[in-house]
Amino acid sequence: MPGFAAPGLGPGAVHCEAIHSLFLAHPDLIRVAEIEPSSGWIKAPGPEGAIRSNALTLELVAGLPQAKLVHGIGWPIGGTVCPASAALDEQKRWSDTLDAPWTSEHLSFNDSAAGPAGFLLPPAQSEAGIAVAAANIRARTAALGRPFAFETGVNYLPPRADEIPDGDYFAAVAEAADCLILLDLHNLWANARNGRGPIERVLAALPPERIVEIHLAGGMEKDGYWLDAHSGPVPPELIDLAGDFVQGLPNLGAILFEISPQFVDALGPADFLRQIESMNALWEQAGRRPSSSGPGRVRPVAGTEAPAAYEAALVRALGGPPEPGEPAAVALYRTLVASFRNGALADLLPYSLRLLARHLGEAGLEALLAAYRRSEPPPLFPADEALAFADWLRANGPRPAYLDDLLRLEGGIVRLVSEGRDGELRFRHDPSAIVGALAAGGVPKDLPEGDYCLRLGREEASEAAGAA
Amino acid sequence: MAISPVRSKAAQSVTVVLPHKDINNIDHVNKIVASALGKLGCARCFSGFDIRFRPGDLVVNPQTFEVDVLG
Repeated sequence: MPGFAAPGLGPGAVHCEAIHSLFLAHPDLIRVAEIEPSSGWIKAPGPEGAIRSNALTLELVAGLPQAKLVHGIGWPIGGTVCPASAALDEQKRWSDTLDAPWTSEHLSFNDSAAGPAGFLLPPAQSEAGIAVAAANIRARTAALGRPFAFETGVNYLPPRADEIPDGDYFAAVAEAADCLILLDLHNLWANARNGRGPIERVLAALPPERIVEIHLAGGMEKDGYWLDAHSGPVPPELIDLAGDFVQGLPNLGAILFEISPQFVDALGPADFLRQIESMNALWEQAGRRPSSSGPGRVRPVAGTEAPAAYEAALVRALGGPPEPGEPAAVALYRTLVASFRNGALADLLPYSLRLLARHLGEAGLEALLAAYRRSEPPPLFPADEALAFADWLRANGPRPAYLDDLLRLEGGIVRLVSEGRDGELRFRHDPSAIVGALAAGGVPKDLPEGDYCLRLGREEASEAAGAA
Repeated sequence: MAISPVRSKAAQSVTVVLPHKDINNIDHVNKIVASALGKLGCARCFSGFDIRFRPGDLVVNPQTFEVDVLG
């Protein structure tokens, strides 16, 4: 795609509800809003459940005064299992409605011949892996009908002697797919800190004219690794590095700050805006220096591993129990997958988990959740995770008093809303009394039995017209 | 009969109806519905440690059923 001239959209941030008001209040400072549509999607239960989104949610972001970019999360293009999902129809609808000049997804994989991974994982950096990614990108570009950029991913694994170096791999994929690059500098900075080699070596290998977008974020340390956690301000050293590098980018269209919704409150609005000011300062430096001719045609000289075998081996390692002597990065990935899966359950079954904690204690609950994760593969959507856990718990878990009613309540709400239908939930005890006791820090006791019922109904006017 | 519309920040809407008056506190139910409505989408783009699950919020003494820590 060497002929694509990126429009100069400017500095901005990845949008989420927690900072929506800042996007509205500061359109001159925040000039670009990157939208992650799938964070607002609802999927019907089951592997083939239809995906739909709410018309008002799309209207909400369409009404932002910023230029919009659309970024994918759940359907990465780096692996051998990369189906043409109905989700792409929804992604295209959002991209078209928001008139995004280009779209992007991760050069990673999250599914494999051994099943889903539950996390974005680094793809096989081999010649076969380059061919896989290039074919995926060409198909994705055609499906979405607009220019496509892959995001340079984080990789917590140590470098291998038989893999193509990171920068050469990115450049080769871009050339083979003839696509654009979303350069996530914090990902590459984390990779360098975690032992994958100097970031300068990676950047030097990239074709500057293909880089249309930059992501910057903050991170945190855990278990000896620097995590791409989007948990705070961009490290000052990374800002300095970015300031030098963007000067040689002739086709840059946007520089975006990323903050996870989980850390918005900790950062605070004033520091968020200071980060946006940094993005503005970087934008002023973009393209000032004449671009170098680039690295030229990439000729990978290493990398022999078959992608499917590599992917399956890594997913099996993450899904199994810890093995003696396993690489520290595998243990880290297993911890991160567990945190995401636990997070989905904490969001959608909070009172059921709280009752289980009362019954089992913290260690007992952790052991129960670990047994569940080993038994059930990680689904992409949190509703599927919550419903799978509820089903598994009924068959395999402890049965403390009132848990059945709580699962009927929390699981029933998730199921009905996910299915997008009206429905009735019935209980043996008053669910509001159970929840009230737990919310107050106690446990429900001696509640009278009866036939308790509530109905959930949709407000039809707010439902999306474009169900997939 | 009590009817209570619940709307999340993401503008997904659901109506909760209690056909009988035997469920005492519709606010508790509404809060759970509203919370769920905003959390059904895919996780956000980051590769860090997810902090939504905090075991310390859930801990009790299993002998006494008293809460040791509650976030």
